[in-house]
Amino acid sequence: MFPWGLLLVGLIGSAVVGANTLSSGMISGALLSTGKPLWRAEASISSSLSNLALHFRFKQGLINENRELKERIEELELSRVTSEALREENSSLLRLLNRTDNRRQIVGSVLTRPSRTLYDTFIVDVGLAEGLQSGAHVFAEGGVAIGTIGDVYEDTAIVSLYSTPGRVTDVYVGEDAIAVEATGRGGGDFEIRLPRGVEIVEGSPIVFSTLGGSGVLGVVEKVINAPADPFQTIFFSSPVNVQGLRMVMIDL
Amino acid sequence: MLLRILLSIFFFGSIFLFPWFVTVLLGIALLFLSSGYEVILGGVLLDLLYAAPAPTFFNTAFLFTVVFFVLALLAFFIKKQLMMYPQSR
Repeated sequence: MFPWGLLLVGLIGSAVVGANTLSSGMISGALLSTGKPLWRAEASISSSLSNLALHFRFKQGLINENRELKERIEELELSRVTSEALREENSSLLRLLNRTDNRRQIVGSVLTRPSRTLYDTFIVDVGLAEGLQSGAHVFAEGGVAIGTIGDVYEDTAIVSLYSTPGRVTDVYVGEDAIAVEATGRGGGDFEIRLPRGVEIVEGSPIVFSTLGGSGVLGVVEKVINAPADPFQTIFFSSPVNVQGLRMVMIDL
Repeated sequence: MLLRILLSIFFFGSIFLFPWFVTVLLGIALLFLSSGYEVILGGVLLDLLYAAPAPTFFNTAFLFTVVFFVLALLAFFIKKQLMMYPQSR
């Protein structure tokens, strides 16, 4: 005997999801508002637990880690000064070209991690009330482009990552800033196919947009050249860990 | 019955709190204790909460609804072949 009950529930479920899509996420908005306190509580508990774990660490281990972190801070401070100088130079060049960077941004707190679903999305705690619009660009710390706003609700919004499997994003690669299409592979990873003649070095940045200061999308991790293939495959990843994001900057 | 209720609570809780694969594993476990209706509802909830059209999933937002529906159907036919499940389930 065929399970007609299951078929009926499946059809009703699909109809609900379809109606939600057509009504610009009316049901989703209500559900996300319900989940918001739960995600806030989860973030607070996990933060308390990680603080608790600190009490059970060995003194010598902490001293060593402290020393390493101090060295790392010095390195990063040097890098920050260089980056600041480059940013100022970039701004003055943009001013010369009458392309001033006058974007307005808002900070959003990340409520869920992208690993919660296969769609490579996460939820932020800002929405229509803060003036957010669908399609707005989302950045991590340091101006790293990570995605765009999908559906926007009253006090929440869904961020769709550029690395969503199959999503195609226009990027510039290499010293000559060759314009290519990067395809998302999920979890902050991307793939580019380029002719083998183009030299790409591992560790070089992939830029989201050269003018307007939109920032870096990723860093080349691996270049694969198969002898039988006239194309090379470039794998690159976002320099930020998208699973560990707590705050993001969103264009208004 | 108690196990089914507990597993259902964990299953729906995992939709909000755990990665998708934990939800899928709990859903599969729940399929062997229930008729599968709550698992399909879980799929609907997952799609309503997190879905965004992705090219790999044919630009639709029905991925988990469809996956859990197919799993529920499979479980129904598998259970019919197993002696440990009464036919009424």
